[in-house]
Amino acid sequence: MGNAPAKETRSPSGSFSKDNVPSPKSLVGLSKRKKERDREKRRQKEQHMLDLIVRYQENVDGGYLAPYGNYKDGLSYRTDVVRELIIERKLAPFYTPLEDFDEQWTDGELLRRLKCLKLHAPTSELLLDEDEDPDDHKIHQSANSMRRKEHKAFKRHLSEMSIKFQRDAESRFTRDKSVSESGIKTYPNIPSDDLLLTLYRNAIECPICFLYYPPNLNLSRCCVQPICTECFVQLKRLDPHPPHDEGAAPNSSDESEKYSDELISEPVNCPFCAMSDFGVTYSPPNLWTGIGGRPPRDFNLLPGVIHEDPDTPQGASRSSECQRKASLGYAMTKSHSASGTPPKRSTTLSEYRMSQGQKSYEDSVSMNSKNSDNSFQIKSLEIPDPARRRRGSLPATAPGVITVDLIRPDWEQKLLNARSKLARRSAAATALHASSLIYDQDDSHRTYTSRFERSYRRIDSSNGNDRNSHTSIEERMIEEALKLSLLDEEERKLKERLKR
Amino acid sequence: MSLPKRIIRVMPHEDNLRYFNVTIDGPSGSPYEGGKFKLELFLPDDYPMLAPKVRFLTKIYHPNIDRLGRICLDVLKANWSPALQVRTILLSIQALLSSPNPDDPLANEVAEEWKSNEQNAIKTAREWTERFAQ
Repeated sequence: MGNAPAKETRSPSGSFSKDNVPSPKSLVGLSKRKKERDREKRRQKEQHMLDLIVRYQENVDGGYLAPYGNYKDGLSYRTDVVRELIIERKLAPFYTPLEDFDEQWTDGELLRRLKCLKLHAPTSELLLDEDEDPDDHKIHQSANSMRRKEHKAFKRHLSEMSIKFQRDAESRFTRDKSVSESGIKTYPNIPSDDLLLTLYRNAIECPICFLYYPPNLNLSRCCVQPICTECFVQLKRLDPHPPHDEGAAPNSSDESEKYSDELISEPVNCPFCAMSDFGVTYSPPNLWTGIGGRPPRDFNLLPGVIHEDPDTPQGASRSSECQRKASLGYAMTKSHSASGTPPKRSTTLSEYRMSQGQKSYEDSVSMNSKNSDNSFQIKSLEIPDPARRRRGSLPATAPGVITVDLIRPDWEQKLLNARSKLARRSAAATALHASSLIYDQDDSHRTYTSRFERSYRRIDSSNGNDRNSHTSIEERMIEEALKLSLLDEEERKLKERLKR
Repeated sequence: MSLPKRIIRVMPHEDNLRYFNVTIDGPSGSPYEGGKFKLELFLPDDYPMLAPKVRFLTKIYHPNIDRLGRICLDVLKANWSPALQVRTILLSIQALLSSPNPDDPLANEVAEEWKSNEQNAIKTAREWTERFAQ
């Protein structure tokens, strides 16, 4: 959008007051509270970056909790919310896409392709734009430019770390996969061939990215079209903007045209049928592997074989070490998992969080044995086909509907920021306008009674008439200052209300 | 939608695969008939979340296409959807050639002419097609 507000970091306001702070550390010039806030922001960004790493140990029904990387940008969605939704099986996990798919492929051929898949799309060494900062040439660097530089360095650091972490996760996956295949030892989170085949045998194409995924994709709530989770998390509201011509209120006079409250932010439309407030539903396949289920290694199409309990000799065929590990995993969750029923959501989640705190993700993901549930394996393997599950369109508020606003709740704050920014800008423009008029007051009385005169009356409507004839510069300046502080106060109140 | 003839051609650029050279034939029955209009199409990094950028390279007399070749078309702006494709976009542009919309103009003078003296405007469009779009 051309009218998008400039980046916050470039905000020129306040730069003149601290321009000559000679301190080398930019944070010195900031108040304690601001520093705290900065630190908190960085912590959040680090967590966000960590949440975007695909780790094979974090899997749900054969998919993962972080996107494969089809899109380089636009990953500002709430990772914590999405991860939780995936674990709760309310949103399809991020499956690794296949670029091609042919129904004619034999199982062997399909498997061969599936086993070559990486966790994440190849990441190029991100070349962050090394454009020269114009402030480099200044003798006195402003506190703002220091902050900007720091911010840039932090961003580079984040992206380097994310590349490194992803590479580590990838090599671990590759290693464990090849060890499993060689038969020396098995890892509970390396999926079985049966699981891979069950998932991808009937792969379907996501109509937005044209990549192939297991058929249990999300479905649009309105027109029941499939959409992969990676495309879904890309969708977001447009930046706050003035209403389009057709939508504008007919009585909006030129005065209120630019008024900040007119900025709007609209929910995302369905990419397929343009219905407002896009949302998806998801029906999980009855696989229950990974988090909240049994180890993906143990998924088996033959009934009875997965009937495994670490306490019985049935599992003894496996190497003793993996046996020990598996039983550890079981032990962790055993008390919670009533046999045959999926674990309660809250339990699984809290356990999952606990395990996240551990140094290694290895085998720490909670797994629940599905033993003594024989009927489950046979009936449940069919992955529902979206075309078959025709259902009517659902309202955005229906239970189970995941809207874009749910995973990107920041739109309200963005709208608020854009509005207050515009309000402040127009107030500043009014002030400038006023002061320039004062100089040639004698002959410009008439032009003065324009928009901003009326906007004055809005603030102080009691004595709006012929004030201009006897108001000194100082008085007007004071009024402007009052107006600005009123605006600030208003913004603060709004923010507080929003927090609650 | 069936296309009897190959009337839209798209070629990717050699050194940048996100950049395409496009040729659209002027639709029959319009003042652009017989013309071959060159366009450039670029897929931004955020495609398909953002619309492709399309611009006419051939000069054209049309109320919704300005002197720089920029196109006023809702599906290129606010009504873009990631489920739309390059193909649908190009068909929309071709449809725009068949039915100019002077009430939502980008080139104001052209639109004025279109509204006040449609015969003349169509004549000019035809002349421009002959002069620039061969």
